[in-house]
Amino acid sequence: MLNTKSLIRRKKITPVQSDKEFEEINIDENEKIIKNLETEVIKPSIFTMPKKQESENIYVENDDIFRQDNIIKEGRIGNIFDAEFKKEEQNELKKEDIIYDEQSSSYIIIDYDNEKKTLKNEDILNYIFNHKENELIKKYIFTINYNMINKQFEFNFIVSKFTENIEIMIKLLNFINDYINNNEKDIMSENIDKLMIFFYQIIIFIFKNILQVSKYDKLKLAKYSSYLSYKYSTMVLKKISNIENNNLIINNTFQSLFDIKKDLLSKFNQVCSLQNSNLQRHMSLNKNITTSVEPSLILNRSAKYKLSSEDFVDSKNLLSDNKENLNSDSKEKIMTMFTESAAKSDDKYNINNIMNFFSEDNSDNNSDNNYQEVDMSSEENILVTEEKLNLNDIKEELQQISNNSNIPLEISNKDTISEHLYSNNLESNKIKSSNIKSKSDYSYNTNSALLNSKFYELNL
Amino acid sequence: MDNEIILEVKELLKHIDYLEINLSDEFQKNNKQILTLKNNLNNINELCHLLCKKIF
Repeated sequence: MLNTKSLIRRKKITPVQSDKEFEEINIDENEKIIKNLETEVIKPSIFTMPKKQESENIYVENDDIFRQDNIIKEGRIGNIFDAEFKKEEQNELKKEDIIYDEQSSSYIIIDYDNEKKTLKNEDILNYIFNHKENELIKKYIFTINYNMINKQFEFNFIVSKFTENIEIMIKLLNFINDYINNNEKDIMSENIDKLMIFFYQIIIFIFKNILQVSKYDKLKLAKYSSYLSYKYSTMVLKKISNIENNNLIINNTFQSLFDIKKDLLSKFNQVCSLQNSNLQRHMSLNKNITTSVEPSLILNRSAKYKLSSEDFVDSKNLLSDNKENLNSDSKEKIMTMFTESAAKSDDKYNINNIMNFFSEDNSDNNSDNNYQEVDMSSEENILVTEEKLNLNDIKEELQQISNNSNIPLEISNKDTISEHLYSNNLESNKIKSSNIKSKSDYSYNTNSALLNSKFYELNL
Repeated sequence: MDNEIILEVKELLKHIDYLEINLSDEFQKNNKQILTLKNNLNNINELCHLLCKKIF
């Protein structure tokens, strides 16, 4: 057996020998089989490393193998190389077990059980906006908890391979920043407020936890910190600018409300004063007519006002309103009073006209003889109608203000308004404020990350 | 007629007051939010400043 082996090797090593010479070698059939088996196994070792085969590190010592095409094709060494490559690949996966996929905008997390799990940015948004829970978020990034003491929600970040990876955290911050920038129209909305608080909390967490114990070099740390600070500053300044614009609009609305109120009150005062003057005249005349009728007083009054059209209207109204109060005796008294006084006077007053004025035939006729007709629609008219107050215009203006400011006017619901407005109870004020917006329902504690996050000393 | 006008004016005045109170609330909330945001901004800038001071 040994002889045949040496024979075969000898034969192969001598390249001068031809194939015919190999055939001439006298060996039996068994030896031929052995020869075939051994050449298959030993063949590579013959050409490359007959002495180095005992070496422990085949991969390093066989660098020359790569230069020889014949050897690369051999299965044995190829298998060894593949195994080594797989080991390296596994190590890399362990190091980078969170990968951000730009196309799908999602994070691929290698779980502790070596399972690949995908977390989308939309899932994070859903959790922030709607509290739609997600196991991966709660396991690797943060949780939203309700603090019973301050009665606010809090973002509590979890120290994990996700949050410790500053590049991944910056990817998340970039996504939130882009989302806020793309939804500038809704910058005053509740969701954007939540995102801004979340953004702030992440930055605080990164500053307090990650950057303090970071493995990165100084320049990279400075770059990250300044980048985060810049991003947040830009976002906050935009927001403040929007809020100030909103405050300006509120001021203008206040001014217009003040004008409307002033207008309404002045008109109302005008109506009241006119009504009062009417009432006073009505009362004084009524008193004079019904109680003690003094002819001289009436004549003096007539002389004083020279029987203007207004007075005739007044007296007509009074008489029409109080027709029932005037009994026949008083009418007769007045008539005799006028006839007597007319006889004494210089025919200054047309008695017949006055008499006619009191007669029932002319009670509905406004255009009395020789007297100016009263224009009911003139500005001088003391009877102010409802249309003159322009209440409909005021209502429309108020409705417009209500629509613009998103505050319900609730004109139909009068009782609730009066309850809310004119009660000093705190509860009613709460109801009132809760009617406008439900911001208080989702208030977040902006100091949670500052208070709850761990603090490490710088180790640089 | 007079009573109707008076009631209507009274009701309108209530609505105006209601709007004014709510607008005032919103104004106060906005101001409070501005203060909070400015405070947050100061915190971030301060942290950034402290970190950079420690680094260099």
